[in-house]
Amino acid sequence: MKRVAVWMTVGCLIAADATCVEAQLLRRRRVVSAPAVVPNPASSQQQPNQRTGSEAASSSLQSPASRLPQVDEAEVLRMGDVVQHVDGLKRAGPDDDFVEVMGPPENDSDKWFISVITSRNCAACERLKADWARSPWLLALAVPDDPKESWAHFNVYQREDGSQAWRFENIRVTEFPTIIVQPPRNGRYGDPSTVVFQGTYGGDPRQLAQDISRAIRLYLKKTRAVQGHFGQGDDDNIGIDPPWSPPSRDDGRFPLRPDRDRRPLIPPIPVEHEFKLPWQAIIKLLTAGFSIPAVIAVVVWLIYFIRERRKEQGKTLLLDDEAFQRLIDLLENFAEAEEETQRTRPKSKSTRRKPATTKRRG
Amino acid sequence: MKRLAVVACLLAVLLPEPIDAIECPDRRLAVDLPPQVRRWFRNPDGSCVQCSIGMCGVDQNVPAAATLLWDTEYGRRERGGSGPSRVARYCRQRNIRVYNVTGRNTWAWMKWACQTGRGAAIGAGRYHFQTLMGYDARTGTWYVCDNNSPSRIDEYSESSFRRLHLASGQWVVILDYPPHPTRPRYVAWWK
Repeated sequence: MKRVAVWMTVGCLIAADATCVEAQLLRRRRVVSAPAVVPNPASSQQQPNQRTGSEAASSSLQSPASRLPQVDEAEVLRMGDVVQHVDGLKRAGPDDDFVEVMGPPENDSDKWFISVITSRNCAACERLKADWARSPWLLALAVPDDPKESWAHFNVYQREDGSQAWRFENIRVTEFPTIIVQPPRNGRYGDPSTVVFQGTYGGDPRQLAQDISRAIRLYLKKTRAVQGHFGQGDDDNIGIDPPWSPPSRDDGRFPLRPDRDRRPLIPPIPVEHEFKLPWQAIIKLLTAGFSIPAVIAVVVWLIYFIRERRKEQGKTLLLDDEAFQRLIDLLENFAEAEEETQRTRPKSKSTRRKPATTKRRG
Repeated sequence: MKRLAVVACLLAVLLPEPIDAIECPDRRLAVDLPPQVRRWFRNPDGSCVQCSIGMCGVDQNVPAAATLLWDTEYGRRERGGSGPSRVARYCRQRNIRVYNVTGRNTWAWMKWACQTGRGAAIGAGRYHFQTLMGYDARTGTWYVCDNNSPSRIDEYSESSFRRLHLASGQWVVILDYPPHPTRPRYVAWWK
């Protein structure tokens, strides 16, 4: 009898526990199944690493951060089928609310990419930005303020922007601004990561636009034959400040660097087309003998030649652009001064001889 | 046998993600954000909408959108829950161009965004917003990054994604800016 009583007690306890667990489970299920607005029998066919909507919903429910309503769902329901286009023009009034129903814009994955990499305190970068806003040559390639009207997708990146620096890890950017052109995302003109043009800005928008067009034309010509080939931080960082330094809204201005030989790095242009031998100076040296201006002309040519060779071979340059330009200016000034001295020398000799001839005559 | 089990357990603990987990950059993904950048947008205090828009802001190089969570020269930080009207307000204040889409049409907008190389901040899960990273139309797979676990990119089948999106109410925010270029690299095409 005692045994029967014990067994009954144990049985009751187990049953009570099971009911309790079931009730808890039911409660949990109700909470979890609440967001599943549309039941879908196909959910069991998901891939191993795929999550279900209810799983994600439950995970977000259980996290402490999401206990408060993070999304105003009631407002979403109130709004109904609406596309609101906030265009940054700060328009106001009932007519300018821009709340209208419309479908997505046209597919723009066939646009080329033009990226400009700038740097802080770079006057040439500012100059390029200003020129791109008004030069018809550059606007024909990209309209910075109107992405829809733009022929290419146009992006300006700042070297100091830590949130973007990793994008350009695979290429060498040594001068600013650097302009990079890439094929469209849809792969119609080959791998979209290919650098079709890389160059800097010398202050001539027409020249830059023509260089870009030339590079694209050459790229298409070269790749047409192989078109078939193309078919195909820490969590603790969250605080008051962003975990990287966002690009500055306003950059300081420095004098524009002198640009003499700003040629695109890609596609490379052979050196022979740019620097011709200083034949006049060589002939002068051979015929008239030693002359400092002629020697300087040959030296300047040699310096240019060596520099271009080093650029082509990807070697580091001995002088940066500014120092190089100063050296060339110095040599040219010296040559000019020497030429002036040589021009004035015979005159002074003749003035000294003049009195002697007068004496003889007298 | 025990040793093998211990090694297996250790490996499982050490490996942060499944071996076949998708990661940026990948052709199937529209968004290209390394995990270390995504981790900046871990949801700190129930700001899932701003976290999701912030990720898109970095992806599309829109600093005013990328810095929504913090006090910067682009504006005061925006923290806490949001609805479409609040998003419209702070986007106007910061001069951020967005498509603020609610209703049945969100599917077409999300597909458009992924097809054109853009991400989208989308309603995903009850009272929750996440970042849509991509859509593979061939396999019907949606790729989503949850700001509660930003190191990982979750994959959803059409049906499970549908359930996920409907759980929050149909609302998406897409930045009206050009998509990012693919990470450039040199190919000697001129030879």
